[in-house]
Amino acid sequence: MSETAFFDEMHSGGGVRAPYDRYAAWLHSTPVETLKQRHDQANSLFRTVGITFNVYGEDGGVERLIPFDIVPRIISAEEWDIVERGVIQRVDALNAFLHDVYNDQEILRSGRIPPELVLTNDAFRPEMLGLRLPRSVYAHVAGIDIVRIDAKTFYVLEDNARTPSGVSYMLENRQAMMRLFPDLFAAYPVAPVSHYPELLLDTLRAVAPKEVEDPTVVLLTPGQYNSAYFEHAFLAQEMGIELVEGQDLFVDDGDVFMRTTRGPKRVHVIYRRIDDDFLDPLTFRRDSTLGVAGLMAACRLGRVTVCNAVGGGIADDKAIYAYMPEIIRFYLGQEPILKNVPTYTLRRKKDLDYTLAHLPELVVKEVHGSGGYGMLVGPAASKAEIEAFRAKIVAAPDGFIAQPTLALSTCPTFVEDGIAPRHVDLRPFVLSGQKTTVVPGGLTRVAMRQGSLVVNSSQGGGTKDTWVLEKPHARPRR
Amino acid sequence: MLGRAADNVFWMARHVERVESTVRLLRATGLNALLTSSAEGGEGDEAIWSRPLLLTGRMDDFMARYEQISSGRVLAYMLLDRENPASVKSVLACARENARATRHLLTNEIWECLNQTWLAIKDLHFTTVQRTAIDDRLEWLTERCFMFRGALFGSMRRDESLSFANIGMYLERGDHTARLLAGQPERGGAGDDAAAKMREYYEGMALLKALGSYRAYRETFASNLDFGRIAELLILNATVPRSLRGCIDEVVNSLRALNPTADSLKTAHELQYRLQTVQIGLVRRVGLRAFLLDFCQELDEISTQIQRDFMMVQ
Repeated sequence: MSETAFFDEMHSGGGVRAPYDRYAAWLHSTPVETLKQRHDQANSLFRTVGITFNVYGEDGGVERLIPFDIVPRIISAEEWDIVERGVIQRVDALNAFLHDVYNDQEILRSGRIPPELVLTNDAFRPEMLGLRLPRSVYAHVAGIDIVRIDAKTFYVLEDNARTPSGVSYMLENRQAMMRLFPDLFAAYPVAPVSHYPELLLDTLRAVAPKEVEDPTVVLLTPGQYNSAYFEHAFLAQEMGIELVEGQDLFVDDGDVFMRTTRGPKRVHVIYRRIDDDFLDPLTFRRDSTLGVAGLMAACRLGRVTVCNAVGGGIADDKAIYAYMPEIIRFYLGQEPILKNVPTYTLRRKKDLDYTLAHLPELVVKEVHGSGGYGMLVGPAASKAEIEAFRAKIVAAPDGFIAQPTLALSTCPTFVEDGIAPRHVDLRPFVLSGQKTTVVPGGLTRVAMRQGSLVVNSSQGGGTKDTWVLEKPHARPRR
Repeated sequence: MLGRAADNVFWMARHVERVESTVRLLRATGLNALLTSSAEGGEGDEAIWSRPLLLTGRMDDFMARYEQISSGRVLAYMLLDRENPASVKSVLACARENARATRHLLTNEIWECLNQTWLAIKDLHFTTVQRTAIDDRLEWLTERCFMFRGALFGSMRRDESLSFANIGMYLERGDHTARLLAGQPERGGAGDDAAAKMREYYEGMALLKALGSYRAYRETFASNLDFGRIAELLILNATVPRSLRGCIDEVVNSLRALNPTADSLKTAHELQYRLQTVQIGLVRRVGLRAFLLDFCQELDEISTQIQRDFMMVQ
């Protein structure tokens, strides 16, 4: 496929697209040296602030920068309107689904989803059965990965309902861009995103156990060697809450406390950035030293709210993904606003046969894989890679799904030899508490290698600032 | 605040202070070597450069790996050797680790100051540093420590975090001053020996400069440099920021702000009272070195009690 086959965010339809008009003029009149200079400046900015992710290795690990691209991804108010309504609809349906499968299981009884797909799934947590969570919210923070293939069509590629990360990049990328290009912000009505931490804190406070008037909220991190530690510290600082590790908490008589310099202090809401498996050694993995013994018991007693709720992984499972349009219709009685990528579930004989016959055209993913590991991108793979993958599929077809290769849109990106198109996706962050909200923007991930369709940071992907343009006179500028 | 976070802030400040002390010690050693080694009857380079190793308790490890004492080897070992836990680079790494573990409580100014210092030094190796540039590096490091303190006092809220940082800093400082004084060679009175007098003079000057107290001495005593007076200044004078009395006063103030009934405060109070009431003549009769090492032990005790009082919550 040649580059012209893809929809480009800036240049499509024979000219510069409207949201980019002034930006394109600025970009084309700016010498490459200036861009290079800004690019270097951005890197040193990120290093100083310490926005790094950890790569395990000798000497206690190495801190790396995620490549940051100085060319923004710009989204018009009209386009954002679709995305915003679409992701809110989707997350509302996800929460309704989670509440249902852990309580009445109507959707399973109705036969819309094969019960064994849910009940025998590793991500399904029987410990959560019969619990009534505050406001019936399970996925308080969700990241919905969206790709675009033409001017009107957005697909949801993946739902992240466990502990999605990346929101600190959304915020820090904006900070960096405002520092590097103040003039552009003066010329463009870019919707602000900096209030995200406030909204997050509101969301967390809104789901505190009922009787509590002024809840104490903490952020639970695996510690400073975790790859997303920067984000944990950043969010705790921005919200003004304690950043705790498992060792700082204990459960006494069903209540959760943190160890402070003035003695134990009761905790009501835990924004946890630790996976289910490590959360409570008494319930889940016994060898976990990251968690808090007795936390699940406290949770079941309703003395503490854990966000996101345990067991939310069943909603973003790749096998469940195929049923999302059905889930939206079932709970909300609405048609999905955002499209689902057609998905072949290889546990079905028919889908398996089709997939094996069309491997060079398809993307095949492991059902439980994430981070861009364990996947086959057919059009980019060699014959040998395809054959190796074919053997893996045949050995255990239940573990895979397949999707057509999407023509992900491209966005101009600063690379070694100037500006060139690179594929992008978008992850808006949806908050569910008293109501479901999303800040105008998100994390745009970009595949830095030419032709690559994989945007994950573990696979060499970078990030961009995402500008959602405000409607004219929508509200006073900040 | 969390007990663990208090511990991290305490050690962050303590390690930054240790960086500065080590740098000051190395600068003073260089100065001392420059001034006295060529003088008649001087100790010689080897004796002078062995002192930083003895003071930090690293002599055995150093000899095992570097074999011979020279200015270059000691500087290499004490500045940038990651295998030496007392090197400036290792101690700075500890300071940053502690800051990173609790960076949500620190202002960006503090974190960025520390992080930038670390980034500038982390890939530096002794072989790539020009000998002539070492003094500049040492001076730069001292400046960074001043900047850290400026950021601490200029940007942090007057709350528990700042108190714990203060305590860490002044405990470390008091300990360093006491050890530096205790490590001085015995003075038998130079008598009329002109060369010995000259040597004492230069050594006294290097000591005062290592503790940033040269001007303080000049302003306090209208006399020549005399070791008795130097000891008096650095032990009992409350106005000198690196004196034992100055340090313990700060520790007492910060502990009182944290919890007026803590055990650690009682111990600190007793130590403060002792320094307020003792005369330098009495210290000399007890023996200067014994007095100083006892002081260091008391500081250790306070440090342990602080752990029990605030950081180990059951």
